[in-house]
Amino acid sequence: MANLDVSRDWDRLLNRCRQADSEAWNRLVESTQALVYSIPKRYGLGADDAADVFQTTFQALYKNLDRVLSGQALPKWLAVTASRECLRIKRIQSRTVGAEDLGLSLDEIVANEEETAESDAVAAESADDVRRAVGSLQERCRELLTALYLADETPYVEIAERLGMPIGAIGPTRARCLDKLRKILEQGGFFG
Amino acid sequence: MARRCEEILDELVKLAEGGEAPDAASHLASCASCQKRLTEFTQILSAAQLPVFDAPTEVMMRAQSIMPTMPKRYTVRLLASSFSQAGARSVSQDFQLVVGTDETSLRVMYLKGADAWEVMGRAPSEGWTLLRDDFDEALDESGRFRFEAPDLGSTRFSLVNGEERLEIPNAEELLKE
Repeated sequence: MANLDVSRDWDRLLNRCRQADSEAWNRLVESTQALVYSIPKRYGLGADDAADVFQTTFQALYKNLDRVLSGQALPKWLAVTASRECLRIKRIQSRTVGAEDLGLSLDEIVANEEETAESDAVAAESADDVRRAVGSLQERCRELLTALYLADETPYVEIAERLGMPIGAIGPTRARCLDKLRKILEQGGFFG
Repeated sequence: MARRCEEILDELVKLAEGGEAPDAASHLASCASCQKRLTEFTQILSAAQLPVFDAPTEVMMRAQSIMPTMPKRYTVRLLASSFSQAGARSVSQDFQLVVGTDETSLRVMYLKGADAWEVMGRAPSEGWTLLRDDFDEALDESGRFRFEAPDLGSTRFSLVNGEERLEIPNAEELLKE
């Protein structure tokens, strides 16, 4: 999805990057780093491999700045590129199981990987969209939804204390906040 | 119906979280709008469950360094000269110009030779490189530079230090200011 405001920011940054504006590039990397770095981590890659995937993904973006057509297409492009690289590393790491052992041709393996990369990229983009949308909520909702759904599991008592609200108010408030979040995501085209 | 939809908002979220909400079942079965909302809540919570990791600073900085840092570019202007502007267009002897920006300045000497102009000066500080169309030269600690040009129209040069790039137009252009 990539909500509209963020897409417009990325459009501007992409344009500036195409003109070799290193400050824009720094901002682009910074604003998409969690999206990209989370992918190798979710694949269970170690810190070194995750760093390699991250670097390879941004090198690919740098080489293909003219081919990434819009800010809206950027997160998917990054996520697919990172997922492909993760799958390539995983394939190399599990070389002991050859294609012939699985009864698949190399083409079939590559096709399967491509499909996996696409679906993983969609999931990664959705996770990123949700976090960005939560970030755009007003403080109280943002803190409540972050504590309930995005951070490590925290007991209601602790959340209530931190946010200064009665425990009984958490349920109804989180429902209203989640509905606000749903509306933001709906406006951004999250639900397709 | 609309009121009832608002009333079961909390129940919809409970269902999306994987809990039970028997009170909402009958309304939900007959309300397409709430069914859609439930699906959307479920999608959101499913996406929220994916863990997100921030890249370590050094990893991010390495990726940021992929694009070379471009120094900020300034074109200097004439601040002072060793002769009046009235004589500028018929320069036939040695002269000096002080050129610069709001923050930095340098003195450049133009010495008339038999068949070329010698351009000499000193960079504002250490660590500068002189760039011309056909060569570049790292300046020594003193920052002094010197090069020859066939005429004043060919005396354009630049000084770069990684953060800044000072563009010094040719002497003819400077003297027109």
